[in-house]
Amino acid sequence: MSCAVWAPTRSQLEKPAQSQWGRVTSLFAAPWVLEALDRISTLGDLPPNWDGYGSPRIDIRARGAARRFVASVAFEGLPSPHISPVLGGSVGLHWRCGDRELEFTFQPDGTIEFLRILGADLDRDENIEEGTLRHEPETAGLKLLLWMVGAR
Amino acid sequence: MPSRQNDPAIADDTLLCRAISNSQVCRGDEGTERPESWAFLSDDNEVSAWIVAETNLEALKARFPNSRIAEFTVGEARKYGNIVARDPAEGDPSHVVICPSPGKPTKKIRKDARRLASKARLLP
Repeated sequence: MSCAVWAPTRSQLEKPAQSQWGRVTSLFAAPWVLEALDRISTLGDLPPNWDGYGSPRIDIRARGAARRFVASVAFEGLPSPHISPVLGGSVGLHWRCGDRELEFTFQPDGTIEFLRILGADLDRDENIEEGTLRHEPETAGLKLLLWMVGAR
Repeated sequence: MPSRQNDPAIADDTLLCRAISNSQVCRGDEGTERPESWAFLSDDNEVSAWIVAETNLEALKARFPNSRIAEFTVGEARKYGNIVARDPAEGDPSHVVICPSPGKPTKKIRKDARRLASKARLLP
């Protein structure tokens, strides 16, 4: 999978439109976005115990948070994420770009956790970082994704 | 729930298997497949697995439809800060649970799930 550096359109995100009343996301910006939004929606069709270990259905709030996040980071240089149901009714988005990876977990209570892989040798503690997106999570997540594709 | 004790009678080279939902299998750059890290987490910090030599893989596959079987060793689970204990759930003596070592920080649990996922090998 190639991961083109996202230079041409980066300035657009850094200078958001000033004259609109609410957030508008162009779904034409990135081909993977519609597919990802659909996939997140279909997680709601999974029955209870979808994993065989008693996990509950994927929570509508977690799905909503994941969809909003995807819409807010819909830039073209980003590869398509792997979208996974997660125990506890959560949603997982996993992006990979070479040795760099990002996993976001959207929990029903609104918490967004991330796991950042910085290198191939996972036994080195400095190559894995975990945390929670607490303040302006979409912006913080976007910064992480820009790091992943090498734009920052 | 009583705290689990590591079972030293289960050797490090013992092969374990765990059923992984198809939706928790991701693909790498070279087309290789592996479980997502979320497949090695549990709400109660007890991740189920089975001792391969003592279980019937076909029966396990039938019990977990829409899933793949991932193999890894007890040593790999322990290397990443876990204990392995027998838990003969529903009368199945091959069933074990993989639990974080006592006092393991939550942050490390998350990281080690990713590490173990990278070691697990998916059966065809």
